[in-house]
Amino acid sequence: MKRQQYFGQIALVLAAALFALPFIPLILASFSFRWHWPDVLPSMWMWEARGTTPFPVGWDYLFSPVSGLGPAFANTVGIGVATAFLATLIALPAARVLARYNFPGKEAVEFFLLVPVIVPQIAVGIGMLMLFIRLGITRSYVGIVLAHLVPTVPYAVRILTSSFQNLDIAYEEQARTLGADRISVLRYVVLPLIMPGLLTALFFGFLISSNVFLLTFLISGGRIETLPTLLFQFIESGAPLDSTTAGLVLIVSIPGLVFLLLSDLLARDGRSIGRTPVASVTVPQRPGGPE
Amino acid sequence: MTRVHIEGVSKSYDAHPVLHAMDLLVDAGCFFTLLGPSGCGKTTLLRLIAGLLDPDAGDIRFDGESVLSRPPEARNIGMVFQQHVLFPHMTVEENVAFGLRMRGTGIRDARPKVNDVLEMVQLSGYNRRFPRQLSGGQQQRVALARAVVIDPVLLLLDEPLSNLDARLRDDMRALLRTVQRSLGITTICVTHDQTEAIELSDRMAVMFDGKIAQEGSPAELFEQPVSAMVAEFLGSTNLIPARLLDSSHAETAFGAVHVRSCPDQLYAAKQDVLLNIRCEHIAILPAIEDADAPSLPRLAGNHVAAEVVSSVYRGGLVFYRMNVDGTVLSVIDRSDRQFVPGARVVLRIPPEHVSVIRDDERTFSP
Repeated sequence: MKRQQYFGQIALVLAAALFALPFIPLILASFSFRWHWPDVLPSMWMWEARGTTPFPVGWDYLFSPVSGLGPAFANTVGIGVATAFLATLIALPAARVLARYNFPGKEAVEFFLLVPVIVPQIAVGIGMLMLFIRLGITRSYVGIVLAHLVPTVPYAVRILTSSFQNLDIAYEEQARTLGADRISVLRYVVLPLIMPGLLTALFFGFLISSNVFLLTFLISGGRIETLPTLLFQFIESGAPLDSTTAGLVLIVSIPGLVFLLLSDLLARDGRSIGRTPVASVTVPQRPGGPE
Repeated sequence: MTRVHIEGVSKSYDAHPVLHAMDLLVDAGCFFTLLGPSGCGKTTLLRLIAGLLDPDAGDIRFDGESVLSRPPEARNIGMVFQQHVLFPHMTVEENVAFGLRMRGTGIRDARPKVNDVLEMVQLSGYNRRFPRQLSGGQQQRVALARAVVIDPVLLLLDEPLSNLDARLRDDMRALLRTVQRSLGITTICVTHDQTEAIELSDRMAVMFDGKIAQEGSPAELFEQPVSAMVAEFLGSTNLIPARLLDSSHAETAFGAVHVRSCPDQLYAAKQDVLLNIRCEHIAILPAIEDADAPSLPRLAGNHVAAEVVSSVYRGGLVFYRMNVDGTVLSVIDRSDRQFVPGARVVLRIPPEHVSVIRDDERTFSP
């Protein structure tokens, strides 16, 4: 028993190390001014270089208005939030139908929903670009959000479909017999019960959107910068482990970490106030076939 | 109290007929049970009444007024589902208050009523608990409280006891009856458990293949089933092939039997019939001491000689298989005495408990 615990702890430490290790050189690089092979640590730090060059270095540069980090961050968050909400909103009714009903062509629809994930984004992107030029919505937030819906909606549909599959329709029927109309059933019964799935869909939507480079790049035409497009510029223009690039990479990974922590907190919260995640609700089997 | 009238209701799922022009009248305040095997359409009927399904044909009326155009939320029905489907994200109080809140009552105004029904189902003080903190029996009682708190015109119960273990089932059955009686709500209960049906119901109906085979009081169904299928479904009975000699006598493989007189117009003499004799109605008398048993004369008053084939003790009762001249009869007797296999006994079959069933009913088809 003790032995097993011991191995478990080792595995845990290894997993944590695997996750955290790549961040160590990034953090070091972001604070470095000069770091050449074969040095283990940077030979000159950012704060040592301050004043020796006329330009701001590392984090100083990133946080200066010249870097364009501020607008890119705001754009990423704004587009991400809008995409996440829209994708979830679109996926909600679709997922309910896919989970609850059988209809001719259902499999085709399910496959079609996966297509944007399978087909190379460049193909989707070029196609959308041509369409959007005609519609005159390139270089606009509307265009970018629309483009971002392509990779996010399939995930949202998948997540919510499984939420609806786990939600016994008897809950809705019971609510109806107790006097709830369709809107009330949605508001008081369905939405609270699929809340874990709903939040997951929102988080995923945001994370995917905040990582999309190609579609943003094609549709924005360089007019609207997001963190990924900004990062690409940096990588293009300098060495990959340039301190500013390293810093930007760290900033780009913030949303993911924040949402990881947030979802963990929400899950804990759920346990304490009784909002059981749908996945762990025991849903009794309904007898098959009409009775 | 509401009178429920079901008129010629039919329902099919994907061209597979489930209910065939069903007619049923449930009187106001009556506890009515629909008994039948799974797949006979009884749950479908319940869902049609609740408005969760729409019938293909026919009409459903409460006190003479058709409710077909009303959605479930406008029918004011209390329904207890097979799985107690309490909302897992709500406390007991929120669950019970749900129906009241949907009718525009605030949670504070609902509280006294909620407390009243929780007291009725013996769950006072459980207001703040969540469903997953309750046992199956407690959840079922909350579901019942939630269904009756809205003062429904009709209470629908879908296999209300099927998920409970034996002891809880007895308690819940008693509670259901008390609650239904004290509120006087017309109740329609669906079950496949005949004990449940008998103990709860004022009236009951046995359903097969989307049709009602027989409707009546529990006693009527037990004492005078109209078909072999009904008799067999109600269980613990003997169905003996026989030929009617006249309106009160029938010839069986083990000789002539005096039967409860049946209407002449229904059964002509010489007709093949089945005799229905419930196991608990056959009395066992110790055998008369005599040497030449094979030539034991037929005794008057439906006495027949029998040999015990097997006996099984089952808490307070003994279940026997008895061989009567090659015909095997099932007999249930009290357990303060037990006859061993091979013992010779005399069975008395009371004529008033021998009912006649038409044999062609055996090939019952919808």
